[in-house]
Amino acid sequence: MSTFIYLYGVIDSGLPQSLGSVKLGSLPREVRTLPLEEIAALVSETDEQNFLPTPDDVLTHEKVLETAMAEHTVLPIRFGTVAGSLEDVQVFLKENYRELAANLSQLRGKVEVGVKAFWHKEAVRQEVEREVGQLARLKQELRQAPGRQQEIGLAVGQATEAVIERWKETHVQSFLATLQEYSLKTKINPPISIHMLLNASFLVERDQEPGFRCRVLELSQVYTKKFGIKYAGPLPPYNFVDVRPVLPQR
Amino acid sequence: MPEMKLSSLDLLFLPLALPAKGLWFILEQITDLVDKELYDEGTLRRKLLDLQVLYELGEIQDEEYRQSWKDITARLQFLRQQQLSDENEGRQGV
Repeated sequence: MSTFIYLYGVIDSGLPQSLGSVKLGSLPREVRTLPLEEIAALVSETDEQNFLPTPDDVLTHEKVLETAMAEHTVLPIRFGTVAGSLEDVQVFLKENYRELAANLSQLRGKVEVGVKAFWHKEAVRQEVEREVGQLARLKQELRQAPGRQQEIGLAVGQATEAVIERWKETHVQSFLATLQEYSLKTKINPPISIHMLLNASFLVERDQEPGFRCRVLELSQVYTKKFGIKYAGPLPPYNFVDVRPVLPQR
Repeated sequence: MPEMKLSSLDLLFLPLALPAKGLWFILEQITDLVDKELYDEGTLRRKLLDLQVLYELGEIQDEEYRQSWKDITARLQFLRQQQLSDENEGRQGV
């Protein structure tokens, strides 16, 4: 059976070293560095060429990057990137050395954090009630004219969307503006669910991350009646660097 | 995004029960949701993410989650095999 090389990321250390063993594709695999001059790829051997995003493997990938982050600057690579051989990884490092080294030095000492805001159902419902009139009245009308169900449903749906849009333009914007002041860079991604008001990533100095976290918590108290905040970090800086190795297919 | 249209308040549930850094979060972080070259693969990844969100919210139960996960990853597998065989045919043609 042929052996392939799974790539997790690139770090700012030229030392050959092992980062311990992880479970990848149901087997224990050693994670080690493949150095070239001042940088190194983080790799494991594997029998598989195609990785599906199973929960176990996704968590392994994340765990490896977070372990490496404790001591190094990390350029994360997307889940499921597999090279045909160690030589292919060497070629990738060599051909992209300057860009990789430049990215590493730009991101040195910095970490990513994720901030996502979800609207509260009850708060939206109350505001919709004020706009569309009493929902109770609508329900009454519905009982009297069942044929209007679709029409009323649509009116409520449109009012809900309007409320959410307005919140995005006002509350979410001011929340975001404050956080932007305290971060080096911001990246806004599309929402991943209808309940998401904000899907943002921030780049912050590692030693300022606890302070940034406190700032988010304080702000979330201000908006607690309207929306809830999820905070995660420090994370590998996926949203501030895009490393896509072009590897020969074997 | 048409799938984001709301037609009834019944659709709404509270997502705050989601863990701050659950698998839903990591999935979004480390996989490519919008891969322009592999549009269908992007769609399937998005489906996986939706599934994960629903599961971590407790909106669907273990069995449905496992089954759906299998279905979606099987489709991803199929898609990749198809791409591989397309590539091979392409090579033979050259």
